Amino acid sequence: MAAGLQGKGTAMQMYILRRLLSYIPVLFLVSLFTFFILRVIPGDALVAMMGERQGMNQAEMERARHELGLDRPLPVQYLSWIGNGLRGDWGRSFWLHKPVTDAILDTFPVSAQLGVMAFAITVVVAVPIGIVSAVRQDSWVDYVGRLFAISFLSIPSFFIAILSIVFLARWFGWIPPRGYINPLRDPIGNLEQMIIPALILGLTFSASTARIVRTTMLEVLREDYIRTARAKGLRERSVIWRHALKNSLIPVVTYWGVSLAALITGSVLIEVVYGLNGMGRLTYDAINQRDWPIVQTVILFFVVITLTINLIIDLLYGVLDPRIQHA
Amino acid sequence: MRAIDVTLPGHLALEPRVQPLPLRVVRAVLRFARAKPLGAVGGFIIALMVFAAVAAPWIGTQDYQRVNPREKLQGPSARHWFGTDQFGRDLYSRIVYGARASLYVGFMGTLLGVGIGSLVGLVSGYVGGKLDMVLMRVVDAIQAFPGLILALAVVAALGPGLSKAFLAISITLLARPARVVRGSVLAAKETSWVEAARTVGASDWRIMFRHILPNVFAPIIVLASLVLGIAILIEASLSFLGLGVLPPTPAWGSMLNQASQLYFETYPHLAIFPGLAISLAVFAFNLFGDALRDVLDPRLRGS
Repeated sequence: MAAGLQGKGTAMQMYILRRLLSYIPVLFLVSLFTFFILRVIPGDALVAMMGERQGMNQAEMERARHELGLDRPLPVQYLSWIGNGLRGDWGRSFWLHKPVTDAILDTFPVSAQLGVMAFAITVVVAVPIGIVSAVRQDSWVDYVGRLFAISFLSIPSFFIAILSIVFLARWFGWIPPRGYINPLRDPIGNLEQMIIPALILGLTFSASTARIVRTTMLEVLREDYIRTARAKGLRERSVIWRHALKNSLIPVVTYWGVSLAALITGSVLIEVVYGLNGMGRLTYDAINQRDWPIVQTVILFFVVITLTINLIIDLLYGVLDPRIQHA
Repeated sequence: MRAIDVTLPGHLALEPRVQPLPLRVVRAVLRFARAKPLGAVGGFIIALMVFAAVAAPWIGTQDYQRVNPREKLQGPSARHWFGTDQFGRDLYSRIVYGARASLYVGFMGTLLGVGIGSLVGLVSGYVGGKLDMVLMRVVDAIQAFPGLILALAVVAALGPGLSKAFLAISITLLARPARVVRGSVLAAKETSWVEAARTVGASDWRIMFRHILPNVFAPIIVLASLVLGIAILIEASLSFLGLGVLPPTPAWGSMLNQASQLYFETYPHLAIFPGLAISLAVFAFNLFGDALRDVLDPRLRGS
């Protein structure tokens, strides 16, 4: 198969293709795991619980049973979930009364905006802290930076979020608006709503990032080429930003790839505290409502996002370090 | 300069005069405290919390379940050190008892997660071949889940509760130990002592558990200590979402959940004390884990 494609694409395209192919077994296992773990509870018990939660009558429960396909054997259920899903039909939510895809499309922009803003804050906060900590190792700046990092690693994001709501309300009478304000219609209102949740999420994520930046910077600063750069009389600023930072970014980017999951995870808690209608909130509500069609598909979707981001990060390596070739 | 502590397996120990065990433990603790004062502070806080959890009936000043409507929503006082909650229960006693749930779930989740993960890594690395490939794809799949999402999926399936929470946490945590141990096993497999063991006819089981496992123990201990803080954070998050430890069992995370949030604006101490308890616990485990890593296995630095 590879021979047939080699003539057509560049090495980069081949690499992307190979990576995408390697995701197939992972996605298959993830979908199997998600599907079967959610069926640990026998279907009838599930429908009974769902009916109780959502106040269904007997006929509605019977219909739900049929629509969930609980009257069919498990492997058939799994295959029809994936089969229909690949054709764009991921089932219907019983609780929201709409297709699962709609529920995800409605909530995805909120989570995406939160994640992107938080990430931007991380870059702005964590990278300078990490660099200064490393350059002024064992000075008071370094200690403050490290204290910041280890504190935000330890304080749960939902605790900071609760405190922010409590004290902003007490001191400024500010109460976060519920629901999502569309940034296209009301950009100021949207920013007002998102900035604090994004800041909290970003600072939490900054903690671990600042630590990694500091560690890798410290290693890079001991390299020979840094001594060379200094010896040939380059200004310190240019040594740090052009020579050291560029070379210490690769482990940092790797770390971001692995731990972007932490951003998603954190956003579940922040969305719940701030009442933002994002995907994390959707997952949480769906679990509470026993809305399995939503739960299983959203989880799969989270995994797809994680894998996609990892692929993008892998491709970024080539940009950051020309020595890395993907062929 | 840090002294490198080389401990030989029991049958090889050639120490001329063996000191009694308690004295050696004290010496080791003191050496650790001198080399890593912050780590020692972390260890001290952990010890205090474990003590509070075990001795909760004596350290807690009052019955943590006793509802007293006449004393509800009080601020901190001499009678109620951390004040009282919306049912008039003594918050200080609830936080002391809460250490039980948090530490128990954290320790069990770590033990199970790192234990199963290490076992998977050991077998996968030692046996190799197709089994290795299959097991590593499973580990890939587990790692593809964002941490809390996987834990949420598991508790969604199994329902909330103490034992289900640590089961969920252990599944979430097992991927990294599996990878780290597999890597160490691959290296250990090629060493001369394993070859020697094989030459004298030791079975695969014996080689795995008697020869390789003791030699990959340091990274396992370090990982476990680093993971404990994460485990406690996940437990707190699950309980906060109402999917972890269930009432009436007191847990720090569930003291912050939605049912209580109504009262926080007027009575912030209801949020501050349990939140500080979680933060302090995770902080202590982070300090301790970092220090242990630096001492035992500097290669893991940055992870």
